[in-house]
Amino acid sequence: MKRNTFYIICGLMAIAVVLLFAMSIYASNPFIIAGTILVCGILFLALKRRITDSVMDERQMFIGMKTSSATIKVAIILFLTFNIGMIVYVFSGPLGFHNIRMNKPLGPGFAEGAIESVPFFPVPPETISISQLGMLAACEIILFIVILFVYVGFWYYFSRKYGGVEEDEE
Amino acid sequence: MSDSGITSLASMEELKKMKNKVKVYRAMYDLTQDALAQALGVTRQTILAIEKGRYDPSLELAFKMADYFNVKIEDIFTYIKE
Repeated sequence: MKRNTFYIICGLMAIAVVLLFAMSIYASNPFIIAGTILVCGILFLALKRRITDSVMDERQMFIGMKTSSATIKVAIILFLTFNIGMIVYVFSGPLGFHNIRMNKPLGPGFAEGAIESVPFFPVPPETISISQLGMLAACEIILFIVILFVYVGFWYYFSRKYGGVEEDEE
Repeated sequence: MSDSGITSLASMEELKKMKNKVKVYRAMYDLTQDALAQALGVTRQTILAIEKGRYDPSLELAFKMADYFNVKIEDIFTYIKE
């Protein structure tokens, strides 16, 4: 298989993943996207082995290793920071964060300028609204996309550092 | 950063000096980067990176190169200790 064919198939797989991700949300079935990711991962590795017009030499493998290593470090820091924050947010009740309060304006039907004092963090975990959970999920997706960009950035950086980007005369 | 910090960083860079004569040997054998790369089973960019000193090859590739040019490994690669 030619390398360009492989890239086209990868692009199609990426579109399929996005579509099935949306479908998974509409169907409220996480197994659809989980299965898709698993199948795509296996398919990606299987197809990668079938590329015939590409030489994967030691320098490229070295760049790949350096890129992966750096990306994993950044990913751990980002996801750990966010997830620790999320855990604190979810369990803020038992930790006493529910004592932090904010003033929220009351809606129509109340006197103008009327406010109520509400906890800034949800009180017990079960009172976290679906919209807040959705926001956390959206943040996770944003982080995932950020990690993809970080990977590409590191790849470019290490490719330049170890002389893979520039073209030169013979 | 202080001047001494810059100096120490610069000296650290100087410590890592792996010189090579790949370009010289390639010229002696009248080989293109692509031809040498194909003979050694690597990409042309790797040969280019080695020649420019941006990438130090593995021991295996260094031996392959020495074997290809029929010389000792230290004839092509030299480690300069500052």
